[in-house]
Amino acid sequence: MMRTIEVFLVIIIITAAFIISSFFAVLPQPRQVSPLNLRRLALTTLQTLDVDHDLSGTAFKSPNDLAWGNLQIALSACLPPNIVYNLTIYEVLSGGTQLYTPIHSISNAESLGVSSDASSYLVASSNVTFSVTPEKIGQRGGGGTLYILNCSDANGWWITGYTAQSLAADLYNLLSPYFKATIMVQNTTQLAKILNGTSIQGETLRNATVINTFGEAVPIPAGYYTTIGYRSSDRSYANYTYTLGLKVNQYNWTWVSIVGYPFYYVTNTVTFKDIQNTWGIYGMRIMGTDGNGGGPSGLNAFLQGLDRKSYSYNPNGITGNPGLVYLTSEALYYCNYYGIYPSPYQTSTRALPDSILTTYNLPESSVTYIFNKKNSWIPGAVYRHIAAGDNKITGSLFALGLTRTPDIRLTALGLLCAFKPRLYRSEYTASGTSRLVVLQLGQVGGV
Amino acid sequence: MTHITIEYMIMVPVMILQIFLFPLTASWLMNIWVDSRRTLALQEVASHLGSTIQQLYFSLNHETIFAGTATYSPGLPPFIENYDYIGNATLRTVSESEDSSKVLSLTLTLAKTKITVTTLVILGPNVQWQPSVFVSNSTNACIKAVKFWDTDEYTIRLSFGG
Amino acid sequence: MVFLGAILLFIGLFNQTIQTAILYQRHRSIATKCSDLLDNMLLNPGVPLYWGKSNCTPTGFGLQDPEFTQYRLSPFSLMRLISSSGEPVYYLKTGQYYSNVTVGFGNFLLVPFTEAINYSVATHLLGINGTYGFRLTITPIVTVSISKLQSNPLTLSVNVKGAGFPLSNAIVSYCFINVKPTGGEQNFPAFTTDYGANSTNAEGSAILSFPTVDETKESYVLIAYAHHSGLIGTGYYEHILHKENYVVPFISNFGNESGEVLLAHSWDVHGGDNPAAITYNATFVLLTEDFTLREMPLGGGKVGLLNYGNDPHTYEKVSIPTYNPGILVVTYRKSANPEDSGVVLMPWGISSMAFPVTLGDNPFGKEWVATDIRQVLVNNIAYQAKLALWSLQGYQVIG
Repeated sequence: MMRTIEVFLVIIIITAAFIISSFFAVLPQPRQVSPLNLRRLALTTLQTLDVDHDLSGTAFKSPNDLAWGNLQIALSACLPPNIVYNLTIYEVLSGGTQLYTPIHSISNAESLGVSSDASSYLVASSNVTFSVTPEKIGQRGGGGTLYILNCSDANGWWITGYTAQSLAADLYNLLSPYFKATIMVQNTTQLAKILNGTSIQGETLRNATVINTFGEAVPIPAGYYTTIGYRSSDRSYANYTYTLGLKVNQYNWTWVSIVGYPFYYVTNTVTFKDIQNTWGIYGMRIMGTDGNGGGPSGLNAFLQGLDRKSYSYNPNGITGNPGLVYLTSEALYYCNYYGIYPSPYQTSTRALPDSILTTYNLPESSVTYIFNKKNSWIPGAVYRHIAAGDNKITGSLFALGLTRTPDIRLTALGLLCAFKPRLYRSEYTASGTSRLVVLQLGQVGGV
Repeated sequence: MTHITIEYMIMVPVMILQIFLFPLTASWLMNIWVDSRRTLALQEVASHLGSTIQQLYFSLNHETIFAGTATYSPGLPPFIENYDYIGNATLRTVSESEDSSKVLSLTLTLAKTKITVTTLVILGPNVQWQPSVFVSNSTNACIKAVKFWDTDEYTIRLSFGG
Repeated sequence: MVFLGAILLFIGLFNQTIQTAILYQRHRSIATKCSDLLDNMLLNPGVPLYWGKSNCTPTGFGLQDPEFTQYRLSPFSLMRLISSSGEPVYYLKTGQYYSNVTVGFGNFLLVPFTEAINYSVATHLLGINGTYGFRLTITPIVTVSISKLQSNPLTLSVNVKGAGFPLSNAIVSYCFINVKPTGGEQNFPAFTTDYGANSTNAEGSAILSFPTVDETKESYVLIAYAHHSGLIGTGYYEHILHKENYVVPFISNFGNESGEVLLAHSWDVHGGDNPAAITYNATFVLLTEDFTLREMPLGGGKVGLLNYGNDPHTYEKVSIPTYNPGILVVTYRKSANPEDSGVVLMPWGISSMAFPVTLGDNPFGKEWVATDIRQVLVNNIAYQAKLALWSLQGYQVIG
């Protein structure tokens, strides 16, 4: 009897304990156990809708504008059918007690359910311009002067369709924000001044960049440089470019040739007013003997001067014709960074050979390639001279061996690739120019 | 009568034994569940911490970011069931080559228990780890990343802070 | 005995409830792991950074485009994933198997296994091999499907819909590529392009008419780009007259600055009746911001003859000199008769033709699968990335 009662008691106790614990041990729904990350989904949805700034534009439109309907269509299209949303725009206020004031809201459901999550995204009005402050070249290492040859007493070659002056103006607009000082060298007299080591307006002469906008021709100042530039032994002006090479080495300049064969001609409209360059352009003389040929002697002499070798007249051409060439991936990357977009492929018929790297101490590790090498030809690069046994740069040459007509965007891009000045993007804080978009998402249906 | 006496002699001790055995059994079952729950919670935290470290590394490793220091508070709970936890990490290379990726082995231990979990985080070759300890209940618990120029490339040094 | 029975019953009853609770706890951690793992894949570019644009095997798995931040994926890293959905293609001339993402006839993406990352390598690189299985699917948000309404005059219907609903008031910009069998230099085949635009109605449909096109005599491809509020989708429709002998483009190599594509004769790949030699002309086009196609010059191998079987000209190689996403358009013909011509397309960069990507195992039959989704951009085309994750360790998994 007792035993029977005990058994019944045990059964009652165990059953009651099980029932009570089952009552409390309620397992959650699968959706609560394994939820979608709605916050991340909301954030990525907002970013996707703003990829072309459509979301930013719509956020500033009046509530009855058609753009809101389009935004609703886009939201419905990109979210899965079981996701409900509520998108609210808040005005961002500065000062006062309330930071955010709701302006407009769109939704596809009355309620977002018990569990929802939200993400926020700040948008700017298209009326606001971001200010971008570029780092000045030379801020971290001295120098920082850009000389653009704008000589009124010189003529250009292989810049068909432009004048050196128009190219100079465009280069000024593109590059002056990146340099501490940008000086237009207005005539060959001023050119002589800086070659002599005297600044024009008190700028820093050393470590400067000099852009020759005259294409295959290089301006030559009258007087001293014309005198020493002309060698009676070879009856050429190659000694002038040799001197230029020495100066580039001495002052650690970066000399820029924007198109074609560098230093193929010398130009001074006064000195050579009765001489033409064999193609009918007066004020210009081909570099070599008696002005009848030997154009390549200019570049050969320049490289000799850059490397401080002794001068030797060499009229043999060294350039090649690789044809279709492509920007390097580094250059393509900086196109996006600096917002300069020349065509990624060009034609090169005056590419320099890679043998000059060893011949003139322009180590490969210090070369910045703008175009991909093609076989052994370098269509465009910044070559930096480092003397044997030394570790510092003493002069650089940026040569773009492309066919006329020059695209000075390539010149700008190449210099920026070589110096890589940083761009500091400033935040905007003007009132009424930013709004907060909050997208709240919930799930419906299913378990 | 004798049978009844023997019966009671056996039943009474067994009944008394039941008083101890049932709660012990229940306690043993609950311990399994509690340990499992704490391990899972700790594993979640470790996984999230590892993921955060990886994201911080890759964000700073981007070419547009130059030298500097970033501190990130991972927003982890300071206690798991009233126990705080400590984190340590060690870094090793994946292979012998110079530009081999590195693996950060992150170990979290729940205080006053024997629960330890480990998670692995894959990072790039240009990373260093500064030995440090993550204390969950510290108000300044954070992850620090310092990006600096090292000879010919940028390196990122990670550590726990707080 | 009763006592023992009571103990066992007691343990048995409660154990079931507790086990289920533990399982649910583990499932929750799988969900957290899924979200973290998806972010790890999408928010890091991998190691080395530009592995998608080279043929190296990465030591860190990541799909982010290294030139951007946030959820922007590299179209080339995605190309280097072995597809789990398509049947691999074997090409006997190279002796290799190729990952196959083919969307209808004439739209091929065939990547050699030796240059692509498979599921097993991915799990190793992510550090989850043996503990978790996953399937990653990256599909365009906006799907553009094109169907023919009538042949004469040619009228096509473009239907645009998103993940949830149709995309009405979307602008549909189209490129109509018409094959000219002898229109190229030295009578190689070529193509002409016509552009235009229309808008979708409330149901997400737009009608395009081409009254001058004679379907019996012209092979053509229509590529339609639908764009609306930042969402861009791509669809294509082919009408190919000659399908017996055609060009199959295989990706041969991912070089550092350029890629190489091997153009093969279809008979060596799929067999078939009536094999014949074909001439081809390959052109690479980039998509511009106004949704027109801009041609980019190719180097050697862009035109040629392909034969079949033991002929030495069964394949040719052409180099694509850029890693800007675009489309390789290969027109081909068997003879000067327009009925013997056709065209095939190959995307360079997965987003150029909005191809989907699937990497991973099949989640069917798994005990518990957690999923998470993100909206991502691949070269400005809106995609949805979905990760399904499950534990491989049954009930014993911890983390």
